[in-house]
Parts: sequence; C-alpha cells; structure tokens
Amino acid sequence: MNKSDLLLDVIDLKTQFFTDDGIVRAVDGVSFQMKRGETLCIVGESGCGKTITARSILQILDYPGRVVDGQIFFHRVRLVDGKEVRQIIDLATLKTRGPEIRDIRGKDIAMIFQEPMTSLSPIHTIGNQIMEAIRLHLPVSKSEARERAIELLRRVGIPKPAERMDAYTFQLSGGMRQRAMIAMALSCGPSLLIADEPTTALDVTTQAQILDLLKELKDDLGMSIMLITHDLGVVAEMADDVVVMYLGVVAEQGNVVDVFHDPRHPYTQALLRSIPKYGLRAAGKRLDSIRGMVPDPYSRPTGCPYHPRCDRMIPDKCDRITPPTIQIGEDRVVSCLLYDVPGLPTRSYNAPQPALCEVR
Amino acid sequence: MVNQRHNSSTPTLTNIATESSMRSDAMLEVQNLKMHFPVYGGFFRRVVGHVKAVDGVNLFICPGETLGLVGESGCGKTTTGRCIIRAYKPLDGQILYRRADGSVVDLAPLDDQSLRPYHREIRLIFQDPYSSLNPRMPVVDLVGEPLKVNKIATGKELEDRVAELLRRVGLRPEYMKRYPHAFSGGERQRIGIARALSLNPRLVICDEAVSALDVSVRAQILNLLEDLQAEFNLTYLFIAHDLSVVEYICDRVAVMYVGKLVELASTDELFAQPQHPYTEALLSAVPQPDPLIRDQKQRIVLEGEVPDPANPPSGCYFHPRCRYSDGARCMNETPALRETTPLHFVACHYAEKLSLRGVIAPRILA
Repeated sequence: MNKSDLLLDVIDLKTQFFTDDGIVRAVDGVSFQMKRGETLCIVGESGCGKTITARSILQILDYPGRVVDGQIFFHRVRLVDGKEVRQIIDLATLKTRGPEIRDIRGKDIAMIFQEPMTSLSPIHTIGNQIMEAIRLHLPVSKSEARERAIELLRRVGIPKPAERMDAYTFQLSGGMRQRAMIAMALSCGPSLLIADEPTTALDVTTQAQILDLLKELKDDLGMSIMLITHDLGVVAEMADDVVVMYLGVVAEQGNVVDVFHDPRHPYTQALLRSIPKYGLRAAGKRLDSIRGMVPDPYSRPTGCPYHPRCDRMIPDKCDRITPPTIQIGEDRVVSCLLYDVPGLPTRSYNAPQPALCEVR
Repeated sequence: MVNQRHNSSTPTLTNIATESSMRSDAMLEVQNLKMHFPVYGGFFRRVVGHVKAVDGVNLFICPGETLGLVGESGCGKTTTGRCIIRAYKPLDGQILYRRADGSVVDLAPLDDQSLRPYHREIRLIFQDPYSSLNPRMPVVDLVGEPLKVNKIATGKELEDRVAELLRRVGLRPEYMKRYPHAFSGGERQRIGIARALSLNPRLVICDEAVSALDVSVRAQILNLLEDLQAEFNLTYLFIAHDLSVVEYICDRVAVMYVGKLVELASTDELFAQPQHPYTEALLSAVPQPDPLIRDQKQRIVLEGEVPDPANPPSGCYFHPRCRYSDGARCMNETPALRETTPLHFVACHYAEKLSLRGVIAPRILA
C-alpha cells in the first residue's frame, strides 16, 4: 500500500470502561488500516465494540470509557494558503477536550449517528445547527454560512431547502432527519465520514435512498466512509473493505468480495451461514445458527474470544492462546489459530518513522 | 374512541351469510377490515380527522402455513395483527375464524366475554423482548400466568407445565425462578414464545418477533419457530419488515401500503414475479448479501415519502410515487384487490400489462 493512500492506521487500540463492577474491555487490541477514498465497513453483532472503536477515533467516549493503549494515526491533508500540508496525527494521544481534537472533529472527521432524533437538538432549527458547525470551523459570516447550509441541504436531497432551514427535527420524517444530519456532517468537507448504523432506524426504501446518497457523495467529494453496521446486506452493497469484529477484536479483514465469497475466520463463515438468503428455502435448506450467544462483557473467555461458540475449536489451544493477527494475503488478515502455520507471516505493525511524523 | 358498529355478540343475519362465504380452505379470513384512529386537535381537543391505519384489508390464512405480512413502518401491519387478536375492536369488516371443530365465527363484533375461548387459540409474540416482559415477575409466573388465568393448572402441576414449555423453547427449567433481567435478548424472546405457546394455541401472530435480535440469535429463533410449527401444527401470521427473513420463513406473503393490501401471493411467486409496482420497488431496495451482484441490480428509488395515513392520496395510494402511473385512472379510481392468476392477488389496474422485475439470487448459498 502506498503511504500517501493511507488515511487511517489504527494499531492495537484498546478501550476500556472502568465501571464499579469491573473493567469492561470493549475494544481489546484492534488494528486496521483505511485507504483514502474507500468505504470501510465494520460489521459485527451488538456488543462487539464496533461503535466504541469509532468513538475512540473521535475521542467521544462516554464516561467511564477511556482509550488505554494503542495508536490511531490520522493522515491529514489540509490546504493552507493554497499549499497542501500533510500531517500524521496520533489521535489516541490527544486530550479529549483539547483544542487539537476539537479542530479535527467535525472538520476532518465527521460522524453521523443511528438515531437522528436523539443526536440532533430538538430545540434548535436544523438550519441553526448546520450553521453552527460551519461557523465553528470556517471563517465565514452568518449570511455566508446560511447560503452554504441551504446549498448543503439541497445537495443531500431535501426539497425546498430554504424553507426547511427553519424546521425543527420533529417536523421532519426519519429519512429527512438523517439527510439533515448528513448535511451537517458534510458542512466542512471532511476527509473521513464515520457513519454509525445510519440506516438501522429507517425503512428499507428510505435506507436505499440514504445508501445511494452516501455513495454519490463519496464519489463527488472524494471522502472516505467508515460505515458501521450489523446488516451484512448493507455491507455487500457498500463496502470496498470489510472488518469483521467479535467481542472487541478483529476476526477478519479483507476485500468485500474475498470476505463474502471466501470467508476464513470460523465466525465470519458462521455469520454468513446464519443470514437468510434468497433461494435458501426453495433449495430446502435450513439456516445454520451460531450456538450460544455473545458472552457477557465482564466474563470474556480466555484465549480466542470466539472459542466457546466455534465449531472448529482446537482443544487446549484456542482456549489458552490469544490468536495472532495473521496475514494471509495482500490486505487480508485473519486472527485465528487455524491459519497459524509456519510460513505465513504474522503481521507486525510498524509505527511511522519519527521523520515522517510531524509532531504537534 | 372508535365508532362502534358492532354491538351484539349474538350471530346476526349478516354473520350467518358471511360464514358460508368464507374460503373453505382457510382457517382465518379477514374481509374488508378497517381500523381508524381519531386525531384530536384544536382548542377543545375535538376530533379533527382519522388516521386510516387499516383501510380495507382482505387476507386469509390456511391451517399449518406461515403467512408473512410486510410493509414499511406505519403501513398498518401491526394494527392488522392487533385487530385479529382483538386487542382493538375494528371499525368495520369481518374476521372469520374456523375453530377446530369446523364451526366458523366472526371475531370482529364479539365482546370481551365471548372472546375468551378465542384468546386461548390465537396468541401473540411481541417484538421487543425487553418491554414485553414484566421485570417484576419471575419466569415461572410470566409463562404460567395464562395457565393460571384460564384455570388450567396450579401449584406443582403448573411448575411442571412451565418447565416442559421452557425445555421446548431451549431454556433450562432450573432458571424459572429468575427474573427477566437475568436473560439476554434471545433468551427473553424464547420466554415470550413459551408464554404464547402455554395454552396450546392454533394461530400465533408473530409481530416483528425477530427484528430486535442479532444475526446469530435471529437464526436460532427462526429455526425454533419452524420446529415448533412442525411439532404443534401451528399456523403463523408473521409480521415483519425484513424481506429476507420473510422470504425464508413464509409460505405466502401479503404486502401492505398505507393501510391497504397491495399484493398477496406465494413467496416464490411474489419474489420472482411481483405484479405490483410497490412490491417491485420494495424488493429492489433490499440489500442482498453478495457484493458481486450489487452492480447488476437496478435499484428503483422511490421518490418522496410514504403518505400520511390521515390524509392519503386519491385513487391508488401509490400513484404519486409509481413509475407506471398513467396520471388518470390511477389518480381517480382506487384499484380493488383481485386475483390475476390463481392465488395471486394484486391491487393494481395494470397488473397484467406490467412486466416487473423480481429478486436476483445471490451466488453464495451456504
């Protein structure tokens, strides 16, 4: 992978929640890379740490969560006085309330959430909320910001945008609210858009509209999208690369076609077998379900977190040894002991050289 | 509240007339079902209009089958289910139910007292396993309550029955003294299923029964529902919005749009050759779990939004968003649900003339 293609490099990220009942290791050593201009889907069941990974990147974890280890290198390209300035910033080291991360949030990395009704303010008009985001990051006047906000609303397909500027969230339908939120996220031209289950609360026809809009915006504006979802259909529809997570670790990462047509990790295989597919019933087949359920976060299994539910568990190995991340192809990694055979290199991460890294 | 047209529970002339008109192969037939909810507004909170949640639904369910009822949120599918179990008293229409002994009864006009025997035979499984179980009742009470209320079992016998039910749905009977908070979402849904099955029902209405569950747990519950159907000869009305789940579990599918049924056909036929433009658009919007076919399919993006059921459009409710609308007949004349080919019912003026696209099958079949 070319260095300049890289947008985000997450290395061994660990996020933990320090609760009264003990420490919840929500993200426990997640590593993945994201290229500029691609759509990366993070998929997994609820409680697998996909949302926490995204929130760790933006440092917007809820109390008592904290990034305890690992690095999140964000390769930032900004135009300063007409010149391209490239910087590599380790987001994990920034203070959660410091000016550096605030400069990045909403400007270079924007986020949209699952339920727009709860993440947009109910007591401000959507126009005011978008203008606030613009004026926070860009040196523009109020009327310029208003022009820009109307243009954004038009861009995301809201009819009569000038009138809708003065609407409150409860006056809009679910799909329109999600569009307004996307407009807000786009307001400062981010290079990375993190979309956390953006269509889960929507109907299937509205979901199709929003997914099409995201695809179109990505191509037009050249942003990258990190899409977090539990719906494998949405993944197949949108992704270039896929990260499959299970209980705070990456089970498998690879190109979307490889992951769907040649899944390697037993969890990915089981997950794909457990979704209803068109024609399955006509073929007289039954769904394969994964036995048991995702364990309680306080009692994580030792070794590979998936081993109590795995059909290919190797006794006395999987329950003791934490599987290494094994590179089984270009841009394709799996962390499972089945593939831990001599000859295949385990992936070692090299932090960027200090010479390349402009320290802020 | 609702206009109460039906006041008597005794069979009237109309009741007897419709009983003979019920399909001979059906266990439940819903005819012209209507359920409107009043909208209050203004200074005196007067009724200013009606939300036509269900506005003339016709469907039938045969014994032993699974009928899917799909549609977007607000289309009236849950209201239809609740009218069938008579949680609501419908404004108009008939709910003809054939009992095990062959006698037919119209559930729509019955009062609470005369409904009691039917409440035992028609049960409901709820969507949300978190809010549908009382957090202050242990599992033995939750599952055993219907048995107690109907004076079927008490004491030790009741506990034995509950243990047997829990075992059937894949829960350990030792846990029956625990409270719902000790269980995960999938296990709670199993408790809800055990509760629905406790009175040996004939018809079970599954209202989004798997929508709140994770993928791997959803497969477990779907398989459980299939096993229970085979074992107890159950009939399901499966209300869902997820078309891939419906395709997997249902024998026939009914599609609703703004309070009306637009299409009803066997699952294979509906997915392969839909005859209503709304069904076509709905099918094309479902993301298929195969990245190789994403460029092949041409998605039909519906313009605009689902109309407000308090103020639906004229004529065919779908015409403002329909690609095939003629702008004249579709605007003025409401299409009736009619049988275009055997057992394929469509409410579209041009059902025969259109050739609509079905679903492209993904290449991965596990």
